[in-house]
Amino acid sequence: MGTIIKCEDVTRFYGPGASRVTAVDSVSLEIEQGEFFGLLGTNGAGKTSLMETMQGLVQPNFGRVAVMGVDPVKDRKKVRQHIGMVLQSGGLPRELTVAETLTMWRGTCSNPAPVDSVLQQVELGDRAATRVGSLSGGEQRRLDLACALVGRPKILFLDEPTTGLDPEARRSTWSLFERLHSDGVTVLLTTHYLDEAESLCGRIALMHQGHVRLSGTITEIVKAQPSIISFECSPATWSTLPDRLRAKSLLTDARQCTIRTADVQSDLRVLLHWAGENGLDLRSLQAVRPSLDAAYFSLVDQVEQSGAAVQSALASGRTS
Amino acid sequence: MSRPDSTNPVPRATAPPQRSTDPRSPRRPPRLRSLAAAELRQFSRNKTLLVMGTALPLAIPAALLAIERSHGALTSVAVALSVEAFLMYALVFVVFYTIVSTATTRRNEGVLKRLRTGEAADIQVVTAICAPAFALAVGSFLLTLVLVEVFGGPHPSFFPLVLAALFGGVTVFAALGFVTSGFTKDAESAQITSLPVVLLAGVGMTNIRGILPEGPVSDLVAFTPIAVVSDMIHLGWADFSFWETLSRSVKPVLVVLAWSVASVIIARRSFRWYVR
Repeated sequence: MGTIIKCEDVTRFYGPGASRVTAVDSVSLEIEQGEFFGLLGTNGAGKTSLMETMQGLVQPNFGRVAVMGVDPVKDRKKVRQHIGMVLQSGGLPRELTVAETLTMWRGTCSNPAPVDSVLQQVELGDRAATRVGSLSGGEQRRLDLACALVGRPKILFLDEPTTGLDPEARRSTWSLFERLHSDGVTVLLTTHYLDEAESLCGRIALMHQGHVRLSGTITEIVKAQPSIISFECSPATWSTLPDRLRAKSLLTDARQCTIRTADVQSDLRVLLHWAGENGLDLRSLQAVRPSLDAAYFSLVDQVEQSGAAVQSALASGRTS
Repeated sequence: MSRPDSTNPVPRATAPPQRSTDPRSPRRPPRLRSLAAAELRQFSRNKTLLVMGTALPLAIPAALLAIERSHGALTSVAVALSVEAFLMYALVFVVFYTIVSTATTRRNEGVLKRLRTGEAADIQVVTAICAPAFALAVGSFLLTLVLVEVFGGPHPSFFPLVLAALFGGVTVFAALGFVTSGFTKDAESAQITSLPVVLLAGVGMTNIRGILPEGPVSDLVAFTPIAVVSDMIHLGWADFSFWETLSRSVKPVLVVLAWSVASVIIARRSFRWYVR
């Protein structure tokens, strides 16, 4: 398995001069053939802007992108026949039926699959004669996916593909993605559903404000995060906590004590021993193992706090 | 969507890049044919465009030829005026207006953006948008010639010039359609944004030019697209010698060519593929 997509110092910005907004800022990453890779981030994090450079829809302002070893813009013909895309918004003609739409798309592909089987694959076989304008939002997303699949892609770009789907449709779409992945298709998914990334992706990159802040396997990312032990606690009680725990803890105004720990089992044992010795009833006691959600929100908090610190330093610099 | 079972003929996504030999995968039609067929299908479902594009272009020359015929045998001038009226209508309301409306609708639906993510080239997408208008313009032109024959009118003396008028006019008004679509928000507002081109076309008609006083305005109007296309139609039915027709047709042919090149260049620069 070699590298199938490579981004080197990719930068993309919008707007002229002073109003310039940097959507992607010197991002470098490599995606291996056959990988299920997730690009995560909030709205405006730069996921779609980065993905568009990989899809060959635009050239980055700086940096280089290679897909299957070639520039996806300059060598569009070589690359495009091997990729399928699902965009954030649809783009299907409302007056055509489902089958007519897919037939049209099929006619533009170099190596297309039969229409009927692709419609069955996305479970729209019984809607073949329905006009696109009469489909539900979820059905339109599935037809969009069918258009991406009809060209038998080697790389599938999915830009928030399950937005607007109900929970059942989301789950079944996931199993379709898993099947495509097991068939050897390289999948690049952008999503802001962390559970989606956790279920599907082998490796992820967390984007925030145009930068990739964290990347790796979910296990690696999660492992670097602390577990959380929490319980109700008064300030007087908190002050009697063993030093080892108090140093890692935070007491909120709502009298909630939170201990962030990399060694949850040992610290929990110490906590319970201390509570037993002091005859305390630890109400609402919880021990939560690290999750992708925690990693993500911790990252966002860190970036925002450092941003606030910079702003504050700049402000104090201006006033001094 | 449940996971497909093993008996379901699901296409493997990792098929070889060359054309499939899979018997379940029928040969695909050429890209342009596929896109054009989809456009024709959608056109046939739009009742407004369908009536504007089929019944009216034929009703105009049919009525004019019938009126002229009721006054006696059809002259070359009468036939040329009827064909000119047809062509004015076909170029403006079939070619130009259909393309403004279709290109704008496809952009607003996101279809143009989506198609650009696929293998089809821009020129194929653009040509497909033009397909219904082109087919109707050529088809109704041929039927107009049949009408001339039915009403016993004279044949054109220089048919290639008549054909050049048709194809030159179609090129100019198709390109102007894409230019206009560039600043048209939606299909409804096309009725307003189309007005400059409709006026440009209207002033070039022989009857309008006939009532303009001689001077710089009429000289300028003589260079408008419909004016030169009309000149070519009238020359195509005139009783001049071959060489005289040829020499008289140089100016209108060059002007149509200049309009074609200029409007295509402007269309390429101003057409928008995405909604802002």
